[in-house]
Amino acid sequence: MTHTSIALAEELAGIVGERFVRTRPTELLTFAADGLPTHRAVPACVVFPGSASEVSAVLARLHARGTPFVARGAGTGLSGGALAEAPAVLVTLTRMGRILAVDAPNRRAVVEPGVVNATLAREAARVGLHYAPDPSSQSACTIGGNVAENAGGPHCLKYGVTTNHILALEVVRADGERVHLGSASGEPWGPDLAGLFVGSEGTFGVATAITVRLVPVPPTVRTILADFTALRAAGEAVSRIIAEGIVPAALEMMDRSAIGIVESSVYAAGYPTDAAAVLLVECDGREGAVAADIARAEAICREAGAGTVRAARTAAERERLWQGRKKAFGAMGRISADLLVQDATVPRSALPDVLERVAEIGRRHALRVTNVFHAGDGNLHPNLSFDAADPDELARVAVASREIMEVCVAAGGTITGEHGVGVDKKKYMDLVFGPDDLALMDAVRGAFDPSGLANPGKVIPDGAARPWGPWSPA
Amino acid sequence: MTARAPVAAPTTLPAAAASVGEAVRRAIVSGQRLAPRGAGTWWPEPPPLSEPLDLSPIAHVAGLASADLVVTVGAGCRLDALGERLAAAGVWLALDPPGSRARSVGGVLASGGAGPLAARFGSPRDQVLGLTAVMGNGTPVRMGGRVVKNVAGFDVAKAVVGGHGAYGVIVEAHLRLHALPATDRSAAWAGSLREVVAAGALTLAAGAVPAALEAVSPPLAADLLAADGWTLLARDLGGHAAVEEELAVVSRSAGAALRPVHGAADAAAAVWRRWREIVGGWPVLVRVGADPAAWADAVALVEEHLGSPLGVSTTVPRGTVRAGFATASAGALAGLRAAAARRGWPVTLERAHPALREEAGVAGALAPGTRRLAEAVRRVYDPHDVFVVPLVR
Ligand SMILES: Cc1cc2nc3c(=O)[nH]c(=O)nc-3n(C[C@H](O)[C@H](O)[C@H](O)COP(=O)(O)OP(=O)(O)OC[C@H]3O[C@@H](n4cnc5c(N)ncnc54)[C@H](O)[C@@H]3O)c2cc1C
Repeated sequence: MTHTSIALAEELAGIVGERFVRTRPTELLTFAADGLPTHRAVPACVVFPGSASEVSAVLARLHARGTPFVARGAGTGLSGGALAEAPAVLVTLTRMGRILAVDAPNRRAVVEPGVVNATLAREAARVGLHYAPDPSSQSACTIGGNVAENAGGPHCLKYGVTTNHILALEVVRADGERVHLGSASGEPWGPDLAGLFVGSEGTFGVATAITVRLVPVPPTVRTILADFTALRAAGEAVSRIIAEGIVPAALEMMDRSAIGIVESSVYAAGYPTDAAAVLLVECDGREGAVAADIARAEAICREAGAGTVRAARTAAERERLWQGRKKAFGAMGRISADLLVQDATVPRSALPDVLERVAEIGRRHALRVTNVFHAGDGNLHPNLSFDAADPDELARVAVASREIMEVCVAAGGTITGEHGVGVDKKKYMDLVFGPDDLALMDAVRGAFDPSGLANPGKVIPDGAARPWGPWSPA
Repeated sequence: MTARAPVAAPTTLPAAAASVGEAVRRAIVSGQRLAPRGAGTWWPEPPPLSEPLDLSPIAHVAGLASADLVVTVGAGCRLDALGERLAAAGVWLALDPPGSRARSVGGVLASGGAGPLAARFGSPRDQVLGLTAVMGNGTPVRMGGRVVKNVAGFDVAKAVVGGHGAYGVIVEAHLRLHALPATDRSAAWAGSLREVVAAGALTLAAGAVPAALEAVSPPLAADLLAADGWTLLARDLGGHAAVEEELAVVSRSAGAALRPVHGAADAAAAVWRRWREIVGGWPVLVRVGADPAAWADAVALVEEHLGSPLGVSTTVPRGTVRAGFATASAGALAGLRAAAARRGWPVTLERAHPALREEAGVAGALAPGTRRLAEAVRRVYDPHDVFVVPLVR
């Protein structure tokens, strides 16, 4: 450690207490990665504030020194957003894990940023309510991280993504100022600043208190699993279910590779290993409506060529149908040294074609591609298995990733549906945005954080944004 | 004053955006301030010392993908025209803002106000997947995209939607659609204010999630349904079974304390159409973002500061209270805003004559830090202050 970083660590310890500042190289290494396997960065130190006022004091201190910082929740992000390279300081929010209020009559809750998504869901359930956005990482990821990434999840098809559930935020800006965005009713004070903040990937400031909307727990939930002998047929079933006006709570797809991996793991869920794809369709709501929708979804699956359709009759059976989907990432992690979880969205009607193109890209680059994804939203996750120690394979992963992004964009889609841009996707931003589009984004970030100290180097590709400001006739 | 049309009738987006950009730059050069204008029904009179920028020629409906439930629309397209095109394709846009059905899409998105259906579908911010808008330096910018899930880059469209034209001119929008429902039914119950408040709370506690749950004051209820007293109006749409079941749950809670109003079921569509006309016709319309469990306090607060309203309508699940007046003073509005702010409730001046809007601003009583940030963000979107919108006072 340099003298300056020792001095800084001491100053930060003066704010949060010595126990909550980590400086040893071995400790720092445990924070050198998030969920993105291709990038690493070691921070100057890691600080764990315990309250909004400590966050404010820490940021004010860093601001005075001109030291950059990166907010971090659980570090499950898949685009490298929580990576901090020294001299940047990592501000980890996991100590701020209190649920401040669950307000049943107003159907909302107020939480600190470090609250784990599943913990909030569980607490809300005690009063018959539910926090709907449910990333597959929900047993670990934090609400602060969800806000920063505008996270989605299987049940966002019916209920909407994080931004549709955030009513108000307390934010500490990069200079330490605490501001309040939005109101508890969701009505903004003039411009929708809370809406701007959601999805800002830690570059606008640190969310220190979050007011979320809760929805009633649906009285009935029914789940079916349909298997298909062709991926295209499964994709067509998805389009038809949506077009008919059925709004399933979740509509998830897994391909042959995913089924094989899950079924040969400890998470085997009894999926048919000879199927080209399975569709998991879940409807929730009131009993008669759910029964009607599930029956119709089942009929559509059969018309589209489904082989067998299994219906869960009990909660335990439902859990089992979901198990394979929920544990797919864990199971995939076991078949190769590394796994790149890709993320893109396409119009739902383009799914069958795009899935075929993605498979072809995998074949051409001799890479195993495994699809496990939110089909109802058109949100693909083509996951690439590889070994980062093999430079040739790593290079093929990079080329295949770009080709997949290009196919998705050409089909009318975008480069990320829920995992964010972080460091990983900066290089694809020019596929969807021009220099002026990026310039506005960069300028809005500058309005929130004029110092540029909050999570520098993320989201906006270097040099790609045109200068932004007043216009003058040339 | 004649409206400045950006271009005769641009048929492609780049041409439309470029012509709006040129109009903005001409205004910058001449020092003229611009008031973006759609159908001209919501703000019929332009603000003082401004030149209207007419967007009505940009009215294309493109890329209507009913299988993907997305449509791309020119900002000047009227809601009624769009609705007809969508219905023919078996889809609809879940927006029922107050005002004429001739309102333009751009105007509705810019003013950000939702109608009763916000209870289930949210407000305009929740329907917008992407935008092309021209900023105050004349630069056209694309925001978001055409797919339902998208986190590529910052969500900069959020400031434009609900920005009342202060954060750029909307040229085109990509909107989320829904399949046309098989059934659309309504029901209504009446009683005293206290009884309606209690019934609303019971309905929410019972876990009801109707598409709309609106509490309306006696004069408005009389106009809508010939109902007597405060009235709770519920609407649900979707599959037949879903609608029956949802309204049954509402009925058990609401019906326990209130008396049924007949006729709502038969005239459902007409009732909600009238709601939009009447509420959108109030000369001064204020909207309070109150707590769903305390909306009656917000009604009392509004009455205390602004006097007896022409009508009140509350979107119960969201706590959105709307109240209409023939006129109001900026001073009284400032008093209401200050009192409401103490409870954390923003008060938006959704509609008013230009002088009141100028003096009172669309929004006010922001906390100092929030105000500074709002102003800094505004300077990014409109660095020349060319858009004449008194957004924040
Ligand atoms: C197995 C697996 C499955 C996943 N499934 C999904 C899924 O279904 N849907 C989905 O959307 N994502 C999914 N993810 C991605 C990830 O879990 C989400 O992006 C999640 O929101 C990240 O939360 P986190 O607490 O881990 O944040 P981190 O990874 O710690 O941080 C993510 C970003 O948020 C910023 N940040 C964190 N906290 C704050 C704060 N309080 N204020 C401001 N900025 C902050 C960081 O700077 C960083 O840029 C998955 C990840 C894994 C590993």
